[in-house]
Amino acid sequence: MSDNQTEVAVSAPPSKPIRLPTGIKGLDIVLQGGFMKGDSYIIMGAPGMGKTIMANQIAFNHIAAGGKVVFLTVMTETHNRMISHLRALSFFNMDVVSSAMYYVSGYSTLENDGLDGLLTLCRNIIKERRATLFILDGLATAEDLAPSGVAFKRFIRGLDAYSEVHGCTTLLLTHRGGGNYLQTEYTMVDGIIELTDELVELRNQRKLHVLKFRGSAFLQGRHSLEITSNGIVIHPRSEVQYTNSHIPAVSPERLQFGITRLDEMLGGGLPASTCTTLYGPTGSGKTSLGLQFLANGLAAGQSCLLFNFYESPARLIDKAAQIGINLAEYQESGLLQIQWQPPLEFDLDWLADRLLNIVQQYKVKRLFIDGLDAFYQAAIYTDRLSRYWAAITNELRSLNITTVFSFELPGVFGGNIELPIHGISAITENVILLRLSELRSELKYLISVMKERDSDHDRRVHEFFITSQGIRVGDVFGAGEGLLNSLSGGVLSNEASAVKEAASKPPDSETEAETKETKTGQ
Amino acid sequence: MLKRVLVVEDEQTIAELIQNLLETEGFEVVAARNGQEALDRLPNQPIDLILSDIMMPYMDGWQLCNYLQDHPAYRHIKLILMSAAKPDKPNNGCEYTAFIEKPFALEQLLEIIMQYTYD
Repeated sequence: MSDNQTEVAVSAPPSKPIRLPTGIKGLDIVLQGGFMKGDSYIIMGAPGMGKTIMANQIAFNHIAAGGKVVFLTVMTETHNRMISHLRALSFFNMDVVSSAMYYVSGYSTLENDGLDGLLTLCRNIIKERRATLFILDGLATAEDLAPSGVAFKRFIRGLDAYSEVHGCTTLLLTHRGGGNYLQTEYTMVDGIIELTDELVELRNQRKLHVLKFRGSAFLQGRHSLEITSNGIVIHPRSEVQYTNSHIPAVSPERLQFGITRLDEMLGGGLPASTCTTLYGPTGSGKTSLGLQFLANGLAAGQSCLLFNFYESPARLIDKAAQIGINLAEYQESGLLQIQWQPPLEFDLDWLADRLLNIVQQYKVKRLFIDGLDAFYQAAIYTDRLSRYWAAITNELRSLNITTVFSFELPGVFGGNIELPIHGISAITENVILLRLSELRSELKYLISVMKERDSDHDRRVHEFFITSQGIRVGDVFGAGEGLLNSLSGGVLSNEASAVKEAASKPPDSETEAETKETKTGQ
Repeated sequence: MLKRVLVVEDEQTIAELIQNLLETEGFEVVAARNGQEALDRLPNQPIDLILSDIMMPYMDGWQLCNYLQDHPAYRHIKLILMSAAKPDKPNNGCEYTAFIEKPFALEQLLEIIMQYTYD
C-alpha cells in the first residue's frame, strides 16, 4: 500500500461545523447561519454601542433554544444595574435568570488573583454550569490588568482552547477596538464583530461590521443596526443580502390599469413581474395613476400594497374616492395594505427589509411605491442607490410582484428632465412619462409610454383626464409635437436621453447587467 | 453584643457597599466572594447571620443553603438570600430565613438584617 493510499484510508470526511444561531435574524443573515459552535468571538465597540444588549439577546435566544449561558462580567458595573436596564427589552426573561442564565462577577477574582485566577474561574464556571454559551463582558479590564501582552494572549488562548473542548461558544465583549487598535491578541479568536456609531452630517448611523469570521463566508461591509424595545435589529446591506433572486422568465401575463386606451398603449397592460416608473412633475397625476393600477388589481381579487411617503392613508383613500376609486372597503377587508412612512430620517436597508417583509407576508401581487425620490432624500450614500434598487427590484421580480413606482421630476412645465438617481432608468423595464402642458390658457395632462421592455408599445403622446368618474386616456395629443424635447425651450438632460435611448433599444439585459454589478460589487 | 455577619457576594462593588453599611451600624463583617469561600470562613468565628447572593461561581447561594442545613453546627445560622431573580419556591428544599430582591435600598436591607439580629 502506498503512502497515498494510507492517507486516504485514515482520513475521515470533514464534519460540517455546527452553527449556533444568534436568534437575531439580520445577524444570522450576515453570518450566514450564526456562530460556529465552540468557537470564540470578540464583539467590540465603544460604550453605548449595544454590545451588552446584543450579547444578552443572543443569550436569551440561545436559552429559548435549549442552551445554558454563563454571563461573567469583569467590570465594576453591577449585574443588578444591567438587569434593570434589560428588563425593559422584550427578549429578557427573568424566569430563567439564575437557572439557565447565570450572571457572575469576575472582577474581584481578576483583581486579587490576576488573569490566571480569572481563567480558572472561567473554566470552572463553564464546566460547573454546563454552559453552551459563555459571555465575558469587560475584556478590556482584563487587558488593562494583564501584567504583559504575553499573559493576555495566554489568557485568550487558554479560554479559547477550553471553550472548544467543551463545545461552548464564547463571546468576549470589549469597548476597545476598531481601526488601528486591532491588536494581534484579538486575531487569535475565530471572529471579530465591531459595532460603531458614526455621525454623518446631523445623523447618527449605527453599524455592524464583521471584521473576521473563520470557517464560513459572511456578508461583508457595514450593516445597519438599531436598538429597539425588542433589542438589537440588524438590517444587512440590501445589495449584498438580496443577490440570489431568481428572476422569472418573461411572462405573457399582463396586468392592466383598467384604463382602456392606456392598456392598449402598453400592448395589453404591464408585463407581469416587471417594474414600471411613472415620471412626472408635481400634480401631473402620478399618484392617481398608481392608485388606479392598484384598484384594478383589487377588483380582480389581487393582494395589493401601497407604500407611500407623502400622504397619510386617510388622505389617500379620500383622494382616491374623489376620482371614483374606492379603496376603503379593500383596506378593511385586508386585500389592500397601506404602509405610510413619513419622509423623515430612515435607513435605506431598514426600509428595504420592511417593504420585502410586507410583500411576502401578504403575498402581494401589485405594489405601488409612491415617491421613489424619498429614498433618494433619505440616502446618506447616494452612490449606492442604483445597486440598492437593482437588488430590490430583482427581489420583487423573483416574488412575481408587478411594481409601479412614482418619481417626481423637478419643474412643472417644459421638457427638461433630470433624474437625480444615476442609472435608475435601467432598473425598471417600463417608463411612463406624465407631463403638464399649458395650451391656449388651458392645462393639459399628457401621458406617453417612453419605454416598455420586451414589448411593442404606442410611443405617441396622449392626453389624459382625471375626473370624478375616474381616469381616462384620450386621443393622441395633436399639439404634442416636440413636447418632450422643448415645450418651453428645455433640453433633455443626459439621463433623460438615456431613458429615451433605452426605450428605442431592442429588449436587452440591462437589469441583468445591474445584477452582475451588484454581485461583483460585494 | 456585637453581631457578626458573613456577607457572601461575588460583585465587589455590592459587597463593599454592604460591608460599609453594616460596619457603620456596628456590625462586624466577614466577607466571602462565593459559597466555597464562605464555608472556609465559617469555622474561624461564630456567625450570627449570613447574607448571601444566589448567583456566584464555585458554590452558589442554594448550595450554600443546603450545606448549612446538612451540618448541625451551622443549621442555626440565619440565612438571608439576595438576588435579582426572585425564587418562586425554595430550590432543592432549601429553607432560608428571608429573601431580598436586588436592587434594594440600603435602608430596606438594614431593616431586614436588624429584624433577624435583634436579641
